[in-house]
Amino acid sequence: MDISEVVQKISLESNPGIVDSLVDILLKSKGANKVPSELVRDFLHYWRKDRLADKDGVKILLEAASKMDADATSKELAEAGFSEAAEALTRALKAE
Amino acid sequence: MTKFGIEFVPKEVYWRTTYYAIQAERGGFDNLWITDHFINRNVYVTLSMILAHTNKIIVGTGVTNPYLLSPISTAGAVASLNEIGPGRTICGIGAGDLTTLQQAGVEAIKPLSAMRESINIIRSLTSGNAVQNFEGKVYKIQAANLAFKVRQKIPIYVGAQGPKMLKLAGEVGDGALINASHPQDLENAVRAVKEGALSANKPVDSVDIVAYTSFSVNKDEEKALKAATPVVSFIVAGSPDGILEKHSISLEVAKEIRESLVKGDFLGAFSKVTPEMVDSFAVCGTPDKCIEKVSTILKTGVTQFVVGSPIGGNVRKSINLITKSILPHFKN
Repeated sequence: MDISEVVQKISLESNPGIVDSLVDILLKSKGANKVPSELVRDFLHYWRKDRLADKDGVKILLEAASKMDADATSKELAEAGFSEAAEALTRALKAE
Repeated sequence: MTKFGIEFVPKEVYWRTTYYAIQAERGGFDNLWITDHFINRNVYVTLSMILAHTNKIIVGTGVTNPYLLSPISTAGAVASLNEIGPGRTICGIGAGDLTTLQQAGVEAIKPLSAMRESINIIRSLTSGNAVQNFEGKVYKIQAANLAFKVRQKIPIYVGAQGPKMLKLAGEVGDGALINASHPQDLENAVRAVKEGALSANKPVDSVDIVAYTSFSVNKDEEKALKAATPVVSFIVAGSPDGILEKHSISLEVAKEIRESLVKGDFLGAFSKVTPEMVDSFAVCGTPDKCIEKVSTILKTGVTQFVVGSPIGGNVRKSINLITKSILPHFKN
Protein backbone atom coordinates (compact mmCIF):
# COMPACT_ATOMS: atom_id res chain seq x y z
CA MET A 1 0.00 0.00 0.00
CA ASP A 2 1.41 3.41 -0.95
CA ILE A 3 0.34 5.68 1.82
CA SER A 4 2.43 8.68 0.70
CA GLU A 5 -0.56 10.15 -1.10
CA VAL A 6 -2.55 10.05 2.15
CA VAL A 7 0.24 11.75 4.09
CA GLN A 8 0.40 14.57 1.52
CA LYS A 9 -3.22 15.39 2.30
CA ILE A 10 -2.62 15.83 6.03
CA SER A 11 -1.63 19.28 7.22
CA LEU A 12 -0.50 18.94 10.81
CA GLU A 13 -0.59 22.71 11.25
CA SER A 14 -4.38 22.62 10.91
CA ASN A 15 -4.87 19.79 13.40
CA PRO A 16 -1.78 18.43 15.19
CA GLY A 17 -4.06 16.34 17.42
CA ILE A 18 -4.30 13.72 14.68
CA VAL A 19 -0.89 12.37 15.75
CA ASP A 20 -2.18 11.50 19.24
CA SER A 21 -5.37 10.07 17.76
CA LEU A 22 -3.37 7.71 15.54
CA VAL A 23 -1.10 6.77 18.46
CA ASP A 24 -4.19 5.94 20.51
CA ILE A 25 -5.37 3.58 17.79
CA LEU A 26 -2.01 1.81 18.06
CA LEU A 27 -2.11 1.71 21.85
CA LYS A 28 -5.75 0.84 22.37
CA SER A 29 -7.06 -1.15 19.40
CA LYS A 30 -7.17 -4.90 19.20
CA GLY A 31 -4.95 -6.61 16.65
CA ALA A 32 -1.53 -5.45 17.82
CA ASN A 33 -0.06 -8.54 16.17
CA LYS A 34 -1.21 -7.32 12.75
CA VAL A 35 1.55 -4.71 12.73
CA PRO A 36 4.72 -6.10 11.10
CA SER A 37 7.76 -6.12 13.37
CA GLU A 38 9.76 -3.81 11.06
CA LEU A 39 6.98 -1.23 11.30
CA VAL A 40 6.92 -1.61 15.08
CA ARG A 41 10.67 -0.97 15.18
CA ASP A 42 10.24 2.16 13.03
CA PHE A 43 7.38 3.33 15.27
CA LEU A 44 9.49 3.00 18.43
CA HIS A 45 12.53 4.56 16.72
CA TYR A 46 10.57 7.63 15.64
CA TRP A 47 8.88 7.91 19.05
CA ARG A 48 12.23 7.68 20.79
CA LYS A 49 13.54 10.51 18.59
CA ASP A 50 10.27 12.42 19.21
CA ARG A 51 9.67 12.51 15.46
CA LEU A 52 6.22 10.95 15.16
CA ALA A 53 4.85 14.34 14.09
CA ASP A 54 7.28 14.50 11.13
CA LYS A 55 5.97 13.55 7.68
CA ASP A 56 7.82 10.22 7.91
CA GLY A 57 6.50 9.69 11.43
CA VAL A 58 2.92 10.30 10.34
CA LYS A 59 3.45 7.87 7.47
CA ILE A 60 4.56 5.18 9.92
CA LEU A 61 1.60 5.92 12.18
CA LEU A 62 -0.85 5.73 9.30
CA GLU A 63 0.60 2.47 8.00
CA ALA A 64 0.57 0.84 11.42
CA ALA A 65 -2.83 2.20 12.50
CA SER A 66 -4.52 1.20 9.24
CA LYS A 67 -3.12 -2.32 9.56
CA MET A 68 -4.62 -2.59 13.03
CA ASP A 69 -7.95 -0.91 12.38
CA ALA A 70 -8.48 0.61 8.93
CA ASP A 71 -12.03 1.81 9.65
CA ALA A 72 -11.03 3.57 12.87
CA THR A 73 -8.08 5.19 11.09
CA SER A 74 -10.26 6.55 8.27
CA LYS A 75 -12.82 7.75 10.80
CA GLU A 76 -10.17 9.60 12.85
CA LEU A 77 -8.83 11.27 9.72
CA ALA A 78 -12.32 12.39 8.68
CA GLU A 79 -13.18 13.64 12.18
CA ALA A 80 -9.92 15.58 12.33
CA GLY A 81 -10.98 17.42 9.17
CA PHE A 82 -8.87 15.42 6.71
CA SER A 83 -11.71 14.00 4.61
CA GLU A 84 -9.57 13.83 1.46
CA ALA A 85 -6.93 11.87 3.34
CA ALA A 86 -9.60 9.52 4.69
CA GLU A 87 -10.89 8.89 1.18
CA ALA A 88 -7.35 8.41 -0.16
CA LEU A 89 -6.67 5.90 2.61
CA THR A 90 -9.83 3.96 1.77
CA ARG A 91 -8.79 3.92 -1.92
CA ALA A 92 -5.28 2.80 -1.05
CA LEU A 93 -6.55 -0.02 1.14
CA LYS A 94 -9.01 -1.19 -1.54
CA ALA A 95 -6.22 -1.22 -4.13
CA GLU A 96 -4.18 -3.64 -2.01
CA MET B 1 15.03 15.09 46.31
CA THR B 2 12.16 12.61 46.18
CA LYS B 3 12.28 10.32 43.19
CA PHE B 4 9.25 9.40 41.15
CA GLY B 5 8.74 5.99 39.63
CA ILE B 6 6.10 4.38 37.47
CA GLU B 7 4.95 0.78 37.33
CA PHE B 8 3.71 -1.10 34.30
CA VAL B 9 2.05 -4.51 34.15
CA PRO B 10 3.31 -6.11 30.91
CA LYS B 11 -0.09 -7.43 29.91
CA GLU B 12 0.15 -5.94 26.42
CA VAL B 13 2.60 -6.46 23.55
CA TYR B 14 6.13 -5.33 24.34
CA TRP B 15 6.07 -2.29 22.09
CA ARG B 16 3.12 -0.70 23.89
CA THR B 17 4.87 -0.97 27.26
CA THR B 18 8.05 0.32 25.60
CA TYR B 19 6.12 3.29 24.19
CA TYR B 20 4.89 4.19 27.69
CA ALA B 21 8.41 3.74 29.10
CA ILE B 22 9.86 6.23 26.61
CA GLN B 23 7.02 8.62 27.44
CA ALA B 24 7.66 8.24 31.17
CA GLU B 25 11.39 8.87 30.79
CA ARG B 26 10.78 11.96 28.66
CA GLY B 27 8.23 13.21 31.19
CA GLY B 28 10.74 13.14 34.06
CA PHE B 29 10.18 9.86 35.86
CA ASP B 30 13.35 8.61 37.56
CA ASN B 31 12.46 4.94 37.96
CA LEU B 32 10.38 2.37 36.14
CA TRP B 33 9.17 -0.93 37.55
CA ILE B 34 7.79 -3.91 35.66
CA THR B 35 5.70 -6.48 37.49
CA ASP B 36 6.61 -10.16 37.30
CA HIS B 37 3.73 -12.59 36.91
CA PHE B 38 3.72 -15.67 34.73
CA ILE B 39 0.40 -14.80 33.10
CA ASN B 40 1.90 -11.66 31.55
CA ARG B 41 4.80 -10.99 29.20
CA ASN B 42 8.12 -11.92 30.73
CA VAL B 43 9.60 -9.24 32.94
CA TYR B 44 13.19 -9.61 31.69
CA VAL B 45 12.22 -9.54 28.01
CA THR B 46 10.12 -6.44 28.68
CA LEU B 47 12.91 -4.73 30.62
CA SER B 48 15.43 -5.59 27.88
CA MET B 49 13.35 -3.78 25.30
CA ILE B 50 12.81 -0.81 27.60
CA LEU B 51 16.51 -0.49 28.39
CA ALA B 52 17.34 -0.69 24.69
CA HIS B 53 14.93 2.17 23.91
CA THR B 54 15.67 4.52 26.82
CA ASN B 55 18.72 6.45 27.99
CA LYS B 56 18.57 7.29 31.66
CA ILE B 57 15.55 5.91 33.47
CA ILE B 58 16.42 3.32 36.12
CA VAL B 59 14.47 0.11 35.70
CA GLY B 60 13.71 -2.80 37.93
CA THR B 61 11.68 -5.91 38.50
CA GLY B 62 8.74 -4.90 40.59
CA VAL B 63 8.91 -7.54 41.97
CA THR B 64 10.27 -10.95 41.15
CA ASN B 65 10.20 -13.70 43.80
CA PRO B 66 12.68 -16.29 45.06
CA TYR B 67 10.45 -19.31 44.44
CA LEU B 68 9.49 -19.32 40.75
CA LEU B 69 13.00 -18.53 39.60
CA SER B 70 16.14 -19.62 41.40
CA PRO B 71 18.13 -16.68 42.81
CA ILE B 72 21.05 -17.91 40.72
CA SER B 73 19.01 -17.39 37.55
CA THR B 74 17.71 -14.06 38.84
CA ALA B 75 21.30 -12.92 39.40
CA GLY B 76 22.19 -13.85 35.82
CA ALA B 77 19.09 -12.11 34.46
CA VAL B 78 19.64 -8.79 36.25
CA ALA B 79 23.36 -8.89 35.47
CA SER B 80 22.50 -9.35 31.77
CA LEU B 81 20.06 -6.44 31.93
CA ASN B 82 22.83 -4.31 33.40
CA GLU B 83 24.85 -4.89 30.21
CA ILE B 84 22.01 -3.41 28.14
CA GLY B 85 21.63 -0.39 30.40
CA PRO B 86 24.80 -0.08 32.49
CA GLY B 87 24.04 1.17 35.98
CA ARG B 88 20.32 1.36 35.29
CA THR B 89 19.14 -1.96 36.70
CA ILE B 90 17.58 -2.73 40.07
CA CYS B 91 16.59 -6.17 41.30
CA GLY B 92 13.25 -5.86 43.08
CA ILE B 93 12.34 -9.05 44.89
CA GLY B 94 9.54 -10.03 47.26
CA ALA B 95 8.30 -13.21 48.86
CA GLY B 96 5.58 -13.55 46.25
CA ASP B 97 1.84 -13.61 46.21
CA LEU B 98 0.48 -16.77 47.85
CA THR B 99 -2.33 -17.22 45.31
CA THR B 100 0.10 -16.97 42.43
CA LEU B 101 2.51 -19.45 43.99
CA GLN B 102 -0.34 -21.88 44.71
CA GLN B 103 -1.48 -21.64 41.10
CA ALA B 104 2.03 -22.57 40.03
CA GLY B 105 2.14 -25.44 42.51
CA VAL B 106 5.02 -23.88 44.40
CA GLU B 107 5.17 -23.82 48.18
CA ALA B 108 6.34 -20.59 49.79
CA ILE B 109 8.75 -22.16 52.27
CA LYS B 110 10.10 -19.94 55.06
CA PRO B 111 9.57 -16.61 53.30
CA LEU B 112 11.86 -14.57 55.57
CA SER B 113 14.71 -17.06 55.20
CA ALA B 114 14.09 -17.44 51.47
CA MET B 115 14.31 -13.69 51.04
CA ARG B 116 17.41 -13.23 53.20
CA GLU B 117 19.21 -16.10 51.50
CA SER B 118 18.21 -15.19 47.96
CA ILE B 119 19.33 -11.59 48.50
CA ASN B 120 22.71 -12.88 49.75
CA ILE B 121 23.05 -15.14 46.72
CA ILE B 122 22.04 -12.48 44.19
CA ARG B 123 24.26 -9.86 45.80
CA SER B 124 27.27 -12.20 45.91
CA LEU B 125 26.92 -13.31 42.32
CA THR B 126 26.31 -9.83 40.91
CA SER B 127 29.28 -8.54 42.91
CA GLY B 128 31.58 -11.01 41.18
CA ASN B 129 31.79 -13.48 44.03
CA ALA B 130 31.14 -17.19 43.70
CA VAL B 131 28.63 -18.87 45.98
CA GLN B 132 30.15 -22.07 47.32
CA ASN B 133 28.98 -24.67 49.82
CA PHE B 134 25.98 -22.52 50.69
CA GLU B 135 23.86 -24.30 53.28
CA GLY B 136 20.81 -22.17 53.95
CA LYS B 137 17.44 -23.04 55.42
CA VAL B 138 15.87 -22.84 51.97
CA TYR B 139 18.71 -22.91 49.43
CA LYS B 140 21.64 -25.28 49.20
CA ILE B 141 24.16 -24.33 46.56
CA GLN B 142 27.33 -26.28 45.89
CA ALA B 143 29.09 -23.91 43.52
CA ALA B 144 27.73 -21.09 41.42
CA ASN B 145 29.20 -18.02 39.78
CA LEU B 146 28.64 -15.73 36.81
CA ALA B 147 31.18 -16.19 34.01
CA PHE B 148 31.08 -12.49 33.13
CA LYS B 149 31.91 -9.35 35.02
CA VAL B 150 29.16 -7.12 36.34
CA ARG B 151 30.59 -3.63 36.03
CA GLN B 152 28.10 -1.71 38.16
CA LYS B 153 26.51 -2.47 41.49
CA ILE B 154 22.99 -3.82 41.11
CA PRO B 155 20.88 -2.54 44.02
CA ILE B 156 18.45 -5.00 45.57
CA TYR B 157 15.07 -3.68 46.69
CA VAL B 158 12.86 -5.77 48.94
CA GLY B 159 9.11 -5.92 48.41
CA ALA B 160 7.58 -5.98 51.87
CA GLN B 161 4.27 -5.58 53.69
CA GLY B 162 4.40 -7.30 57.08
CA PRO B 163 6.51 -5.87 59.93
CA LYS B 164 9.15 -8.62 59.85
CA MET B 165 9.69 -8.35 56.11
CA LEU B 166 9.78 -4.55 56.34
CA LYS B 167 12.53 -4.79 58.97
CA LEU B 168 14.41 -7.26 56.79
CA ALA B 169 14.11 -4.80 53.90
CA GLY B 170 15.74 -2.12 56.03
CA GLU B 171 18.39 -4.52 57.26
CA VAL B 172 19.54 -6.12 54.00
CA GLY B 173 17.94 -4.12 51.18
CA ASP B 174 19.22 -1.15 49.23
CA GLY B 175 15.57 -0.21 49.03
CA ALA B 176 12.16 -1.23 50.33
CA LEU B 177 9.15 -1.47 48.04
CA ILE B 178 6.05 -0.92 50.14
CA ASN B 179 2.76 -1.85 48.52
CA ALA B 180 0.53 0.75 50.16
CA SER B 181 -1.25 3.95 49.28
CA HIS B 182 -2.52 5.21 52.61
CA PRO B 183 -0.31 7.60 54.60
CA GLN B 184 -0.95 5.80 57.91
CA ASP B 185 0.08 2.42 56.45
CA LEU B 186 3.17 3.99 54.94
CA GLU B 187 4.12 5.78 58.14
CA ASN B 188 4.11 2.48 60.04
CA ALA B 189 6.03 0.76 57.26
CA VAL B 190 8.69 3.48 57.07
CA ARG B 191 9.22 3.15 60.82
CA ALA B 192 9.75 -0.60 60.51
CA VAL B 193 12.19 -0.22 57.59
CA LYS B 194 14.21 2.34 59.54
CA GLU B 195 14.29 0.03 62.57
CA GLY B 196 15.70 -2.69 60.33
CA ALA B 197 18.37 -0.38 58.95
CA LEU B 198 19.40 0.74 62.43
CA SER B 199 19.59 -2.86 63.64
CA ALA B 200 22.17 -3.47 60.91
CA ASN B 201 24.06 -0.30 61.81
CA LYS B 202 23.18 1.24 58.46
CA PRO B 203 22.33 4.93 58.08
CA VAL B 204 18.54 5.08 57.67
CA ASP B 205 18.91 7.31 54.64
CA SER B 206 20.95 4.59 52.89
CA VAL B 207 17.70 2.74 52.17
CA ASP B 208 15.46 4.04 49.38
CA ILE B 209 11.98 3.71 50.88
CA VAL B 210 9.44 3.41 48.10
CA ALA B 211 5.70 4.00 48.31
CA TYR B 212 4.45 1.63 45.62
CA THR B 213 0.94 2.96 45.20
CA SER B 214 -2.09 2.12 43.17
CA PHE B 215 -2.71 5.33 41.27
CA SER B 216 -5.46 6.71 39.05
CA VAL B 217 -5.65 10.25 37.73
CA ASN B 218 -8.11 12.01 35.48
CA LYS B 219 -9.34 15.60 35.15
CA ASP B 220 -12.77 14.07 35.76
CA GLU B 221 -12.85 12.58 39.26
CA GLU B 222 -15.54 10.04 38.36
CA LYS B 223 -13.40 8.67 35.53
CA ALA B 224 -10.41 8.37 37.85
CA LEU B 225 -12.57 6.46 40.32
CA LYS B 226 -13.91 4.19 37.60
CA ALA B 227 -10.39 3.26 36.48
CA ALA B 228 -9.24 2.60 40.07
CA THR B 229 -12.21 0.45 41.06
CA PRO B 230 -11.15 -2.90 39.50
CA VAL B 231 -7.66 -2.68 41.00
CA VAL B 232 -9.05 -1.74 44.42
CA SER B 233 -11.51 -4.64 44.32
CA PHE B 234 -8.61 -7.07 43.94
CA ILE B 235 -6.65 -5.34 46.72
CA VAL B 236 -9.65 -5.56 49.09
CA ALA B 237 -10.24 -9.20 48.16
CA GLY B 238 -6.59 -10.06 48.84
CA SER B 239 -6.13 -8.09 52.06
CA PRO B 240 -5.97 -9.81 55.44
CA ASP B 241 -8.80 -9.07 57.89
CA GLY B 242 -6.48 -7.02 60.10
CA ILE B 243 -5.71 -4.60 57.30
CA LEU B 244 -9.40 -4.29 56.36
CA GLU B 245 -10.42 -3.64 59.96
CA LYS B 246 -7.73 -1.01 60.29
CA HIS B 247 -9.36 0.84 57.41
CA SER B 248 -12.90 0.28 58.81
CA ILE B 249 -13.84 -1.85 55.81
CA SER B 250 -16.64 -4.34 56.43
CA LEU B 251 -15.28 -7.88 56.44
CA GLU B 252 -18.65 -9.04 55.13
CA VAL B 253 -18.50 -6.75 52.09
CA ALA B 254 -14.87 -7.72 51.49
CA LYS B 255 -15.95 -11.36 51.53
CA GLU B 256 -18.69 -10.62 49.01
CA ILE B 257 -16.19 -8.90 46.73
CA ARG B 258 -13.84 -11.89 47.03
CA GLU B 259 -16.62 -14.35 46.23
CA SER B 260 -17.79 -12.32 43.23
CA LEU B 261 -14.24 -12.20 41.83
CA VAL B 262 -13.79 -15.95 42.30
CA LYS B 263 -17.05 -16.57 40.44
CA GLY B 264 -15.92 -14.27 37.65
CA ASP B 265 -18.68 -11.78 38.43
CA PHE B 266 -16.40 -8.78 38.01
CA LEU B 267 -19.14 -6.18 37.65
CA GLY B 268 -20.72 -7.50 40.84
CA ALA B 269 -17.40 -7.17 42.65
CA PHE B 270 -16.70 -3.69 41.29
CA SER B 271 -20.17 -2.47 42.27
CA LYS B 272 -19.39 -3.18 45.94
CA VAL B 273 -16.23 -1.05 45.97
CA THR B 274 -16.85 2.15 47.93
CA PRO B 275 -15.05 5.51 47.68
CA GLU B 276 -13.70 4.81 51.20
CA MET B 277 -12.06 1.61 49.95
CA VAL B 278 -10.50 3.53 47.07
CA ASP B 279 -9.20 6.15 49.50
CA SER B 280 -7.65 3.43 51.66
CA PHE B 281 -5.92 1.56 48.85
CA ALA B 282 -5.27 4.04 46.05
CA VAL B 283 -4.20 7.54 45.20
CA CYS B 284 -7.07 8.58 43.00
CA GLY B 285 -8.71 11.70 41.64
CA THR B 286 -8.04 14.92 39.79
CA PRO B 287 -4.43 16.17 39.53
CA ASP B 288 -5.00 18.59 42.42
CA LYS B 289 -6.43 15.86 44.62
CA CYS B 290 -3.52 13.55 43.74
CA ILE B 291 -1.00 16.30 44.53
CA GLU B 292 -2.60 16.68 47.95
CA LYS B 293 -2.39 12.96 48.69
CA VAL B 294 1.14 12.57 47.30
CA SER B 295 2.24 15.50 49.51
CA THR B 296 0.81 13.74 52.58
CA ILE B 297 2.50 10.48 51.63
CA LEU B 298 5.88 12.18 51.13
CA LYS B 299 5.68 13.49 54.70
CA THR B 300 5.81 9.89 55.95
CA GLY B 301 9.49 9.69 55.05
CA VAL B 302 9.31 7.75 51.78
CA THR B 303 12.06 8.65 49.34
CA GLN B 304 10.45 7.40 46.15
CA PHE B 305 6.82 7.61 45.06
CA VAL B 306 5.67 5.06 42.51
CA VAL B 307 2.66 5.65 40.29
CA GLY B 308 1.31 2.13 40.02
CA SER B 309 -1.44 0.39 38.14
CA PRO B 310 -3.95 1.41 36.80
CA ILE B 311 -2.37 4.93 36.33
CA GLY B 312 -5.60 5.95 34.57
CA GLY B 313 -8.22 4.90 32.05
CA ASN B 314 -6.06 5.98 29.10
CA VAL B 315 -2.46 5.32 30.13
CA ARG B 316 -0.90 7.67 27.55
CA LYS B 317 -3.13 10.59 28.54
CA SER B 318 -2.67 9.84 32.24
CA ILE B 319 1.13 9.85 31.95
CA ASN B 320 0.89 13.22 30.17
CA LEU B 321 -1.34 14.55 32.93
CA ILE B 322 1.06 13.34 35.63
CA THR B 323 4.19 14.68 33.95
CA LYS B 324 2.63 18.04 33.13
CA SER B 325 0.43 18.68 36.16
CA ILE B 326 1.76 16.63 39.08
CA LEU B 327 5.53 15.99 38.80
CA PRO B 328 6.43 19.68 38.28
CA HIS B 329 4.73 20.44 41.59
CA PHE B 330 7.30 18.29 43.39
CA LYS B 331 10.33 18.52 41.12
CA ASN B 332 10.58 22.30 40.62
